[in-house]
Amino acid sequence: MKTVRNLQETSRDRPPLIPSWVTAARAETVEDIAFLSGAALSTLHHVLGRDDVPHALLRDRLALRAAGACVGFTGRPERAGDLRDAVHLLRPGDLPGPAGENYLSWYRAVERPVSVKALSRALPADDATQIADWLDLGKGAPVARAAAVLAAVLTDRPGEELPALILADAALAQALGWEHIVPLLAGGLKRLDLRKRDADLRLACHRAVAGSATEAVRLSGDLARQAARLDAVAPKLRARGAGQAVAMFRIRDAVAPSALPLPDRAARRLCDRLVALGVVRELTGRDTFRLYGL
Amino acid sequence: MAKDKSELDRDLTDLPPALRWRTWMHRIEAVLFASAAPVPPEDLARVVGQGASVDLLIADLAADLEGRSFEVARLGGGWMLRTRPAYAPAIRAAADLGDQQLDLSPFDVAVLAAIATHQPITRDGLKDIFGKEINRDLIGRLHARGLIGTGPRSPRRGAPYTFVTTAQFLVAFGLQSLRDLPDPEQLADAGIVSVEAF
Repeated sequence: MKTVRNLQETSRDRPPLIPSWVTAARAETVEDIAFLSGAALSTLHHVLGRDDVPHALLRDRLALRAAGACVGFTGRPERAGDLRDAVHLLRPGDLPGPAGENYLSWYRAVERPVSVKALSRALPADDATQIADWLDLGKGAPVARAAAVLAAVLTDRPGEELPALILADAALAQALGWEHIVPLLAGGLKRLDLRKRDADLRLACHRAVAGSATEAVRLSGDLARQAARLDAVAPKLRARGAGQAVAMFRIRDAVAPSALPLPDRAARRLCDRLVALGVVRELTGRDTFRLYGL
Repeated sequence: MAKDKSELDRDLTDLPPALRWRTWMHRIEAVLFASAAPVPPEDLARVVGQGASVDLLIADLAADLEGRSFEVARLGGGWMLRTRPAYAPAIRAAADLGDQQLDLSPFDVAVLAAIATHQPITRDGLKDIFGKEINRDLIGRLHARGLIGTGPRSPRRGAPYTFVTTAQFLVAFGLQSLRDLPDPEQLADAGIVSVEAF
């Protein structure tokens, strides 16, 4: 019983971990997979209620992952890094391109509390009434509801995975009483899963949710630790505007130095210093047009 | 929202339901008829009653247009009325299409196809695909026809801009989305391109 007690002691000051019986299990039957997805979602639910997790950043990063998966479903070659570039190197008046549009849709979907209005802003190609109708379709438990919405949108709009997956995650968030969409389904589903219907699709969704929720809990723990480290060094930064810069790193997946409220040189120096302090990473691996994030 | 729009009676509460539905359908038809570009569903929702499904209205309109020379098409995330392809020769014979003609050479189309598949892509990227410099006139032609636009900058020296296709590109080629482009994997399977090209 010692292990269980240890788990409880550590869980007070740190975000909860996914129990090892979830990650270690190799489930094949519907009951087993549904059981694991429920367990993973329950842990994630607790994580989402904690103050030490940088929620906007978590959602932004999951949105990037979901957008990358969506782009993959459409058969385009862009990957997560390209999506980041597309959005951060976009200048006013230019078009984001197909991959950039995809990420912007996801970003807008997770940016504001889930509502029909916010969703129709994220999905300009579908009107609000239609979106509300789709969201009302799902019945039953959360994952089953999400699967029903996914199937309904894909039936009405064959080949449009983006609205289908965003709305399915929206239905999941609503069913679980979450304020914001937390993208889980897109990253866990495979291209073939999207052709499934009914029980097969529900099974695929449970599998996707079990995997993605586990991943999201792990990511939350990492981000919470990194955000705490960033907060710890923040008082040491003396550059003017450093406080605002730190606030931006806490809510965004990636930040270009030029987007910081500092003069160019000072912004680059601040980013270099944060990297040297080990609280921020350079995300692109390039020498120029760098992007930084936790 | 513009003030003059507030005068439009959207809900038409004084009409019987069947007539109300028909009026909404006709409004959508009129809006589509008057527009040269696809109309986003959001805009259509503004001329019909709150809570009326644009999708259902469009479906009924499409059924109405069965057997006519034109149809409702969903292109690039919006709806538009377009003549059926079967009547293209008749239209070409009767009317001076002027600047509506795309008038692109096969090589122009090849470059456009490369942009569509590899977007966002820089001029250097196109040079790598075709093995020669793509001249600015050609790019200018595609730009002038509204088929391509400038996309995000490329993260390279000098931040060259990239080219991406526009909504007009989808309309001109009758594509619902970029999904309708030939799938790279299928092209590779058919032996038309080598896998390394992607």
